[in-house]
Amino acid sequence: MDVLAQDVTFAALAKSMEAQSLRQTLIAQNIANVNTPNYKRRDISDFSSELLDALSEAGSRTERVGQVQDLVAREVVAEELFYRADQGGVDVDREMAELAKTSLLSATYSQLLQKRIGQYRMVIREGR
Amino acid sequence: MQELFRRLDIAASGLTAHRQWMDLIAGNIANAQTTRTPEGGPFRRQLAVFMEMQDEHGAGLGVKVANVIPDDSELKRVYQPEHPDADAQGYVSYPNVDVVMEMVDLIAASRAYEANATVIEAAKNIAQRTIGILQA
Repeated sequence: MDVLAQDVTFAALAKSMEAQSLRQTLIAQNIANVNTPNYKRRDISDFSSELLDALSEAGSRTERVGQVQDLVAREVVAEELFYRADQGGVDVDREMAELAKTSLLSATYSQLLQKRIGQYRMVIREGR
Repeated sequence: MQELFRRLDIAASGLTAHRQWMDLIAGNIANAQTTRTPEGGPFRRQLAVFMEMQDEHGAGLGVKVANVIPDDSELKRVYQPEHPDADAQGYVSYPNVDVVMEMVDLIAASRAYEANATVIEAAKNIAQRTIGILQA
């Protein structure tokens, strides 16, 4: 659909949901390994600033949609950041907080996507 | 969807591994006074070794109990000449299980279990919301 190819908001929301989904998986992995010695916590790269950069670049809307869609949230392993005496790198309290964060963000993005789709639907129905 | 199921599998592996650990702790506490085992000698404290699971690309697949090893620390020797398992000097070797330490481990294991259960709850929540987009 030509309209969607120009919809930067739609593309950004979809990509953000994808990133949060990966993030939640990595946090699940961190929590599963809370008692694994020598485990280093995983997280995604700084996705929101990359998204901001892509959104603020010059060019037509179609080009920006392309740039947003090319973004990939990458998995990064924490450096030698040991939290515990047994060399485990997972602070379970922090992970639970991060988990809550991803849940709330995902919920927000899915709500916004629903609203966006609702807007399209209203236009298709000629405002009714 | 793939990502969602992977997440659930990861959390489930965490539940399994920590339940296995709790089973070992239960066994340790139950056998805190066991002086006779099928292998001979007194019971030794059993330790769980946790290992991260990864696929061939290094993506995380959760955790597992890779090995169960006996604690090699010294056994407690108590002078009890009337005990049937006493040695020639009248000493009985009791398991190297410290019940207080086991209780501490039990708390750690059950907290980790709860954390993994919370992950499953959160993953289900998000999945439901994502499916909800279809109803928009």
